[in-house]
Amino acid sequence: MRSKIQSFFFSLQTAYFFFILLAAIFGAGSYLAGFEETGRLFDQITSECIWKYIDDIVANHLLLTWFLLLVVCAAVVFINTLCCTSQVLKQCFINKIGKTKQFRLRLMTFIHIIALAVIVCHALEIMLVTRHSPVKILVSGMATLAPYQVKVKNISYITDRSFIQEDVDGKRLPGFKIPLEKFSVDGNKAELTVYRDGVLVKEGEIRLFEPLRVGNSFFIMDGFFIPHHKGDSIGILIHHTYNPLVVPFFVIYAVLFTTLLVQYIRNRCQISVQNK
Amino acid sequence: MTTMLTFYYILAFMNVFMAGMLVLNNTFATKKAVWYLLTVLWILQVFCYFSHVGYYPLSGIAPTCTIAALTLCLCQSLSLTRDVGSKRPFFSGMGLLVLAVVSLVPENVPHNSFMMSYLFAILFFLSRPFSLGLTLYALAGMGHLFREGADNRIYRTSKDAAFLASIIFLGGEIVGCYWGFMGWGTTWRWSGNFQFSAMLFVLYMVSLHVPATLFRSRKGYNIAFSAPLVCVVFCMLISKVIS
Repeated sequence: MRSKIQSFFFSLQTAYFFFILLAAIFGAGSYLAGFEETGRLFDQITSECIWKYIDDIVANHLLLTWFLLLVVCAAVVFINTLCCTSQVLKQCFINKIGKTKQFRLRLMTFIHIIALAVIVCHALEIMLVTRHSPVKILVSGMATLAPYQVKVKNISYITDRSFIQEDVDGKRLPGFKIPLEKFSVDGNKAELTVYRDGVLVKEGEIRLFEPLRVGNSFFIMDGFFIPHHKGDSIGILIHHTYNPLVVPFFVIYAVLFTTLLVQYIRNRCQISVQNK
Repeated sequence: MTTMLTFYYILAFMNVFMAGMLVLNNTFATKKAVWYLLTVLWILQVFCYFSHVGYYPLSGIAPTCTIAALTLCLCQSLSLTRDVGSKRPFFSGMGLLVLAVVSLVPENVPHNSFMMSYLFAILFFLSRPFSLGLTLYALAGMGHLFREGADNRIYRTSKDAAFLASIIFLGGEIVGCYWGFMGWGTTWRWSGNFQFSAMLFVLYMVSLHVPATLFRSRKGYNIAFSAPLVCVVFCMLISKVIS
């Protein structure tokens, strides 16, 4: 029994079948997101934190099954990669093999170690990262984005204001529908001051695609608005996210991408040498 | 502006005709001049599209198909000298024919949104057609292996093309995550789009992790390698047409 479990986790066939299963699970998830109830739950999990909606997920049997399958599948892929990598690592450093083969094996092992880090990072991100719903703040106004208080000192909006005018229902044109020539990413900005327990912690500008960072917290601008009933006054939509993993996340991905490219170039070089 | 759109459709029909000729006549498919001409025609088609709608809407059917076709044309042109006598140019022609036909599907031409002008958004959208073109090139090689039997050179170039396609796809996902984080504060969303992308990437992984011990024959192995890539191509194209 023990050897059966061992061979299951040390086999490339396991990885292959679970990759197929994982692809099917993601395909099913993509399909489920199209339904009203599951789509709404997915949106809520994205906008805030998975733990806040855990009861809703448990109540929705279809989504619960999907989540469990995803977790089990990802866990098996993780353990399988870990086992196979440890085996190759042993081969690399203990068994004697040719220099070229050794380098190739070491590179492959490194790629798989980084892939393991990617899986861990994704899992931690889903569990640790918290987001808060966006709030509207008018110029000179203040709002609490726990544990911070944010004050909008000034707003500079230099392009056509009709695109951010709210209607009677408080709705406005979505950002992606504003034409390029009618919006300035650099010119449209807001000046913020961020306080924590009444103490100033950060002062700075915020733009679309340029969040304000305070430690592991990020203040992200979602857009500008002009309230229907308030004539000329302008405001911003802003939300706060806590993400301690953002730097390691992108570093790990950058390392993985670079290593894969090196592996590809080496493959091509080897073929060129063989063809000569 | 309308003239440019008319030119776009004229060129698309010309590309359908040329790709059809490649499929029907194998001698025609192995001529270098034909592939160079095709490359020029696809460049003109891309140019007409961007002249008509502006430079930033990269997520539609037209930019996806035209850039993918250009990638496929360039890959095939580079390997043509060694491919004389092989069926790969014929299968690349089939890939081009599919792309040329899909590029004729009418779509609502989007305007240049300021959100699409963000560098990381551009890189994200560009990664998809490059991956698609390389995947089709990998499949063209596999098509040759199915028809003519073993050829180590073509097998290795196909595997490398699929590998490069997956790297470019992954690169696109990374810059897309960065775009998502800077714009919306999340690197991952539980949305249909994100899960669809994850599915495509895992399909590349399936293709690159086929265990040799699982199949008795080389043909079985080649089918297992090609099937996920066919799914990737199908999903990429159908998602554009449906959306």
